[in-house]
Amino acid sequence: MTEREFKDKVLTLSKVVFPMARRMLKDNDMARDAVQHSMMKLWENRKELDKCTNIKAFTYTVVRNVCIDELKRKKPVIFDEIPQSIKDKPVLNDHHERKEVIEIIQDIIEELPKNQREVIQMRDIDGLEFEEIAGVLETDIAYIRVLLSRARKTVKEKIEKIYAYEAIGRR
Amino acid sequence: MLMKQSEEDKMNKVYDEYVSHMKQYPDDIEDRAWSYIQKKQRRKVTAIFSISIAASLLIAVSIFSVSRQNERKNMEMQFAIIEKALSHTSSELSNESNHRVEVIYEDEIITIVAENVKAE
Repeated sequence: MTEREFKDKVLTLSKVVFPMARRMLKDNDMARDAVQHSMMKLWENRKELDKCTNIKAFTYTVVRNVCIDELKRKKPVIFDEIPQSIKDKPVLNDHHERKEVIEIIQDIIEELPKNQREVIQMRDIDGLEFEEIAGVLETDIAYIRVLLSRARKTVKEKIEKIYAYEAIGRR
Repeated sequence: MLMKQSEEDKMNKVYDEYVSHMKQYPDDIEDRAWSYIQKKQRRKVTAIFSISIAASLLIAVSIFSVSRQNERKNMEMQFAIIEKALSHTSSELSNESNHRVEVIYEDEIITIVAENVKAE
């Protein structure tokens, strides 16, 4: 794999894997370091990448493993704020309301069983295909579909409950 | 029915909002990753270069010292051979000899020719 190919096919995935690293490490700087370290590993083994059938899933797995190693090595730190440099497109007008909503959904997803949580995050946030998720988690696609369906259902029900409760409160 | 649809839309919007928030990444993540790779690569090259130079120097010094040692050994051997040769010839080089005598000692590298001339 040439430098150009590496930049086009692998380095561009930094954007995809960064949110996952941040989710796992709960720290922007640590996530950035993990992505950089993973990219370095991939660059050093770029000859092997030519044989790889799914570079995205492979890169995702490498970053995930680096994050797991990092978590084993260090104690997790408290989730910090996303820096100013990060792209931000507010949809909701009230910043606090928006933050609160994000935190609520974050909590709902955190409460899901581990396998459901991983699948919903990989699919909805990281944008991985079912084949890629199955590759990363080393399981079959049908099971991934079941997990995703259950996770989405639970999230939807919990959001509904919260909104119903808020609606009653407003009356 | 309309109210339910509206709630569904709101929930979807909220979830989309969460997803877009969680998808955020630093603008310079790619550039930083590439800079990191280049920095590490440069360090690696420098380390390899330094190790190569150190190894070359070590080899050169070893070769030099071994050759010096061999040279000294050769010289010592040559001295020993000369001494041996002289001891062989000393018995032949007698002052009382009346004849012109040629004594030759020869080995792989040294040939010694001695001449005895009768004193007048």
